[in-house]
Order: sequence, then C-alpha cells, then structure tokens
Amino acid sequence: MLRIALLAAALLMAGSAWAQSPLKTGDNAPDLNVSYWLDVPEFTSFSEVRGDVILLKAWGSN
Amino acid sequence: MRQLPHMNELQEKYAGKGLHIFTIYAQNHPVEHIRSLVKDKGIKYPLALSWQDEDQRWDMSSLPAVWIIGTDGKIAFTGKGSYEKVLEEQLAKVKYPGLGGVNVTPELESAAKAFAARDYAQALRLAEAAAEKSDASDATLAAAEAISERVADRLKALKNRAEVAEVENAWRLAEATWQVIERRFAKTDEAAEAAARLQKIKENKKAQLEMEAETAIHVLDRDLQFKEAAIEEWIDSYKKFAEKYKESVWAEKVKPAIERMEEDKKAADEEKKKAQK
Repeated sequence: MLRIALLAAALLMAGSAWAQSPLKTGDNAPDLNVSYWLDVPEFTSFSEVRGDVILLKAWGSN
Repeated sequence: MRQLPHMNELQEKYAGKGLHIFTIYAQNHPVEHIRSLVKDKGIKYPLALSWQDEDQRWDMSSLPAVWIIGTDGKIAFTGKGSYEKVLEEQLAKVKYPGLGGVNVTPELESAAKAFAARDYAQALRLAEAAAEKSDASDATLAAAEAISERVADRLKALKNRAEVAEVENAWRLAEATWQVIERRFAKTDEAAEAAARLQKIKENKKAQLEMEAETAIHVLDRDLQFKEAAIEEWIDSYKKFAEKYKESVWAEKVKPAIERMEEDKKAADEEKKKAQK
C-alpha cells in the first residue's frame, strides 16, 4: 500500500498524539513493513536476520 | 550527509560479520533525486522509500535517526550521538552470522563461513561432507544438521516470498527474489529453476506492466509530495495513472485513495462554503 495512498489519513493524523510511544532502548523491535524499496534488497525484513545485528537509519538530504 | 560514506564503510568493515544495514529515506523528495544521490554517493545499502508505521514507533521527527537492534531482537541503541561502541558490543556477540544458537564445531567452521557469506549451496555441500565423515562426532553431526536446516529454511523462505509475490502481482519483489536464489544457490537445481522463472518474468507482458505501474505510482507519489500539490492535482494525477494503467492491479489499488481524497475535498469545500456564509 502506498505511503501516500493514505494521504487523507495522514492529513487527519497530523498533529495527533503518538498512538504508542516511540521505541526506546530495551523494547522489542517490531519488523519494518516496507512497501517500496528503491531497489529490492536481499533481506526485506528484520525477521530474516534475527540473531544478527541490525542498524536502521532514517535519513534525508537537506 | 557525511554519514552516507560512513555507512558504506560500516557495510564493508562488517561484511559477513553479522551486520545488516537498512535505511529509510524519510524526506519527501522525488525518486529521481534520491536515485541520483544514491549514485553520486555510491550508496550500497538497502533504501526503503515507502513503509508503514501506523503506530509511529520509529520516531523520525528529527533526522538522521538511528536504531541498533541487537542479537536478542531488542533495541540496543536509539537516538543521536555515537553508536559505534554499541554496534561493536553487539557484533562481538555474533560468532557465526545467520547461525545464532548453532553450536558450530571446528569441522563445520568452513560451512559456517560459507553461510555467513551467503553462499548457501557451498554451506550445504560442506555441512554434508562433514557429516559423511566416518569419525564425525555427535556434536559435528548436530551442527551439520543445524546448518543444513538453516540453508533449507532460507531457501524455503525465499521461494515462498517469490511465489507469493507472483500471485500478488508484486513482480519487482518476485524478480528480485528469484535473482537472490539464482545467486546464492549457484550451480544447483534451485538456481536453474530461478533462472527459468526469471526468463518467464522477462517474457511476461503483464508482469512487466505491473513493475512499470508500481514504479510509476511511487514516483508520482513522491513528486506530488515534493511539490506540495493541491488535492485537486493529487486526484487528477491519480485518476490519470489509473486510466493509463487500467490493466494493472495498481488501478484498483489507488481507487480507495482517490475516493478518500474526493471525500476530503468535498468536506473541505463544504466547510469553506459554511465559513463564507
């Protein structure tokens, strides 16, 4: 499902409180639910590599 | 942006040592801009452009944002600041990447290394060879069996992913997954089957259309976001997309979004009228 296919929902959500609190150290990490990769990688979910170490980074270019 | 080459360095430094880097491009920039960036910076790690996080657990309100998930599946680090120490502490716990919990005996070291390098066919050959030795200990036999099972599990997971993707018309994912099987199970029947499936996808006009449509809608999405398009433009663009790709599953997929946007526009117009009275 498109991130922006939920545009209307996102507009409704703007300014809303956290549904759950953001993840903190010690929390169980939920899997990442990706619907579109720039190029599809070999591993597409965290569950495929559990037991190893995952570094997740969110970034931009401004 | 100096972190980008650093991520490449981490990827190279810890290749085959149990580190998996995933990234998310969390700004509303067009796909072409992101692709140019990836090319210019030589980015080699996975990059997600669209994801679901309805509960907003992954806090991306400030970028860059980093999380380290440890070998126990828990968050070992989050936030800003230096994370390399935590990374190294976690990686020190990974003796055999991908084989957490398997008691690898010396006879299975080479099989374990092959598994870490994702040469699954070789890992299986080496595990079977170690198990066939007449003097193999119980521990060696157990380790060989465990590695063989991991290889089988990996293959099963990949095949399942590829086949489900085909059924769901997610052809980019299907194609990429068959490519992984072809690469990681080289010189086996599995690789041959994967090659055959890839050829079929190449010849399948519907699959090619679906891949084109999937990319087109995500490019469109980001373009509209980037230019902060008015809702009328969103609706018009989505409708044009649905018409162009009416033979694709994506035409149906965007319908709920169009309907929702039209409802919201109607509600906003009515509010405006009321306010003007």
